[in-house]
Amino acid sequence: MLDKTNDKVDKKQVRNSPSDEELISRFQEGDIYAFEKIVQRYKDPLINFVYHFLGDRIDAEDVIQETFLRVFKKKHLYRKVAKFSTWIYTIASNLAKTELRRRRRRRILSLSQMGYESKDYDVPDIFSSPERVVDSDMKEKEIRKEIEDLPIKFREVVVLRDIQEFSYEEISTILNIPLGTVKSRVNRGRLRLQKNLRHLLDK
Amino acid sequence: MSPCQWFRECIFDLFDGELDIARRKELERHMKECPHCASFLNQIRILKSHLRNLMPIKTSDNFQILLREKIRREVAGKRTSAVPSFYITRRWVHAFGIALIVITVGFWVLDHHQPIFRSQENAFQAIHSSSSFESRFDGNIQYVVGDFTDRISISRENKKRSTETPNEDSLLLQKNLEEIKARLTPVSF
Repeated sequence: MLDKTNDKVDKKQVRNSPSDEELISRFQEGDIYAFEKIVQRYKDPLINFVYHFLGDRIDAEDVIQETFLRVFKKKHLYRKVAKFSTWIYTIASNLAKTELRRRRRRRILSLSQMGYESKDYDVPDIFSSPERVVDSDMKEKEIRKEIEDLPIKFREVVVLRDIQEFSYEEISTILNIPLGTVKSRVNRGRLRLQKNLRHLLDK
Repeated sequence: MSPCQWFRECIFDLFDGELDIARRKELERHMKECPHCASFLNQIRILKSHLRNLMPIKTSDNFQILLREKIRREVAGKRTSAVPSFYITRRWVHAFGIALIVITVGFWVLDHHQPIFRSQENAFQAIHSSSSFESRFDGNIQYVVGDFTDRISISRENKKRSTETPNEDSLLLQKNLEEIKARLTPVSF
């Protein structure tokens, strides 16, 4: 009974709370409180999305901060024709990709700067321990690692579809790729994950 | 296409709810017959559930404080941006002025030195051709010039003439020029 009343309250709150589009439109008119609401609503979903791109929480947070800063600065560029969620995810996705490119460049630079003597370097592999699949925490880490190891084109669609639960149409808008490509990439990404995580999925 | 291949292609449509009843029944029938495909379906189902239930990552507690600070700095930067933009404008004015001077000097040098080089070349040719009075035909029109006045001095005199009122000297110069023109005789074609 209590649960039912709570549900009712939640539904009422959802019904009463302004939509993203209403919030951004209020923010465009100068209401800073609306921007605060947007930040509260999107900070966690966005960090979950960006984290899977970068695999680092601090970097992901930086990207999200930059995303909100862009929204703040470029609020006038948002048009009501698109959903606000797709717009903000597009910004976050582009910034995450830029960060990835910057990292790749930095990595190439650091490897090229490495001298002949320093060629023996170890890349720590925390997932090679024998007891890795026992702990559920480790299992989650392994799944996350497999997601991170996916090529970026599969990773972004799998994260958006299976973790963030966006529709194919929304993903197509966010990433600016055709619907058919989104579907095929999601399926190929899932197949890769299934292949690499078979030992976890059989249990 | 083998039934297993077909099954694997349709399986994601099944999850996305995009499979019609007929195909769905066919899939179920195949699943009962093929343990590999049944296991595959089960693995995909578990994978999807794992992905959906991954522990959500939360932003740090000071996330909004840091963001506010960034925005505050951004707004403050915009307010104070009037001074740097003034400096930028001043810098552009300086750059434009320097560029203008360089271009003017460049044009002046071109205007005053090219004729010298050309005239020296012409004079050199003229001296050689006039001294020997023998010129070989090389496909260009060649002229034999007796006494060739320096071209730069002619151009200078021309300029002077354009600004001054005609006097005796300028008339004399004009006469000299006409004489020079008359002395240019084509020798071969």
